[in-house]
Amino acid sequence: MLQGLLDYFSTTGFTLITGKMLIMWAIVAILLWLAIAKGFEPLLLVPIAFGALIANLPTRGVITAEMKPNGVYESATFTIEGRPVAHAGHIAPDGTKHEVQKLRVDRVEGGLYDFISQGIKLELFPPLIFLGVGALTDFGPLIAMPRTLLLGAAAQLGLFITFMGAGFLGFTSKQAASIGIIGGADGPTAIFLTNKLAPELLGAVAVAAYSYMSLVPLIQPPIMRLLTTDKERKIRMKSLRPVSKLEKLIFAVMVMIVCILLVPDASALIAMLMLGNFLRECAVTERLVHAAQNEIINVLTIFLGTSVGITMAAESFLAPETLKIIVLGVVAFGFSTAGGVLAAKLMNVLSPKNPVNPLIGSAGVSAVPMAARVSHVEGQKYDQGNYLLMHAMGPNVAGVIGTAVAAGYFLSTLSR
Amino acid sequence: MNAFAMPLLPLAAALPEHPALGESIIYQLNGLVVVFTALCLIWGLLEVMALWFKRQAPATVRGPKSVAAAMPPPVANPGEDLEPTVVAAMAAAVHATLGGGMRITSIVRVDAPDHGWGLEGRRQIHSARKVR
Repeated sequence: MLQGLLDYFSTTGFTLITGKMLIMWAIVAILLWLAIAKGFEPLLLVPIAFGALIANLPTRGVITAEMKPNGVYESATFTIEGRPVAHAGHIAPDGTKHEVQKLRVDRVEGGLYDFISQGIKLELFPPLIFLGVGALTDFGPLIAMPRTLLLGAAAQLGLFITFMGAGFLGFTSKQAASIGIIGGADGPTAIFLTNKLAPELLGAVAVAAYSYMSLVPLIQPPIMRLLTTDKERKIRMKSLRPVSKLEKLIFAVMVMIVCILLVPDASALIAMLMLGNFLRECAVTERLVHAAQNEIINVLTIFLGTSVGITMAAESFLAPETLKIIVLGVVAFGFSTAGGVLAAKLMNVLSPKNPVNPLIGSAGVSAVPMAARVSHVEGQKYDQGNYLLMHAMGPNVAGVIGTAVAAGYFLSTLSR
Repeated sequence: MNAFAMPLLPLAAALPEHPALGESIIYQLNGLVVVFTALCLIWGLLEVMALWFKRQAPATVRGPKSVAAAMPPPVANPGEDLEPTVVAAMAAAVHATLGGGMRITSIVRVDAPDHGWGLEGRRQIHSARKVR
């Protein structure tokens, strides 16, 4: 009987627990604490942390993962068993002959997340999340004050500076671009880019991006105070003009066309963002908007978060590179914040008659709407009657577009 | 391949896996130029669009003068002894806050003695719900 129990014990997961797994459990506990007790981006940190916990348990039937000889940790792969069936040459429309091999699939083998994670591998989740983001975003403040687009562009400074910093630390160009995009404070875009350029860093980049997005209220204010004077922080801006429905509709189509023409590699993100926004603004597709704003984005957030978390297996996450990425992420965030604030100050020098409050420059990072809220709260500390929220939403949503364009640039230049 | 991606490709081919400082700086500057170009182009188009819409705006502002005359007169419930000026003030407030196309179909005193039970019921319903 005792031998039977011992035999059974050898089949349990207890024997497979490693020291690295225990360290990852501690990291998971910190992430859950940040999300639940501190309320930092709980909608994403909770699924990511839970996915990381699953990845660091000796599971069966959840995900297939293995360390390749070249040191790359590959996860979420499934195997297909099939038999070749009769095949024939295929004549293409241009007259050339191609061999087409037909396969009868008998069995597809893989765990739950081998399949769900294909949403990231096939680049499905981030654009679909952008559909929901577009349906939730009001671009009115940006249309009313389009010069704030410059702040959204300037806040991409951190991406490019971090690219250089990552290069100094030994990362390749593709990895450096994936790390730099953290400065854009846009989770789906960071995942979209990293999956294409440096999938081996996906877990670390996603965790850094979402952690820093949640820490925006702590990271940005000291930089904003350092770069502005008391007088600048008290600048009151003119009220925004009302924006008509037709303007918003034209804006969605126009931005999509311009961005796709300039950076075709960002098409999936921009097209879905503007589709969601068009559905919202046309006001005749209420059911679709409701689905995009709620069911679609919520379901995908669960899948995206856990799929990212599940890449955080100890073997790949507990590496010196992860620590470097965490440090570089703060650098990227800091420079992006500074870029936005300094651009606002420059705009005031060039156009002193209609000044902008430099505090809204920091909202150019695309953590919507948290970065705009930080600008507003910071402004109210120096002038209780100064309401900057709507003004800050302009650069905030411009930052979303700017980050997508920057990601498109990286993809255009590095992915081929 | 899209023709608009072509100018970027020579740069991609030239950027090694570990670029030198000079190459890295040029690459970053190119990236910033692309981002600024895209957003400045959108800015320019938005300014043009705003000019057109601002020119249209005065025509729509002028409209309500005639609309106000066409609005149906507010109607008080029979038995209510409200001054016409009070009703007019209410109609003006509705028009100012909710815009045109609204019509007051009834005005009822909620503090009348016979509404006491109804008010109490409403108060209880509201107080029973947690405000989120």
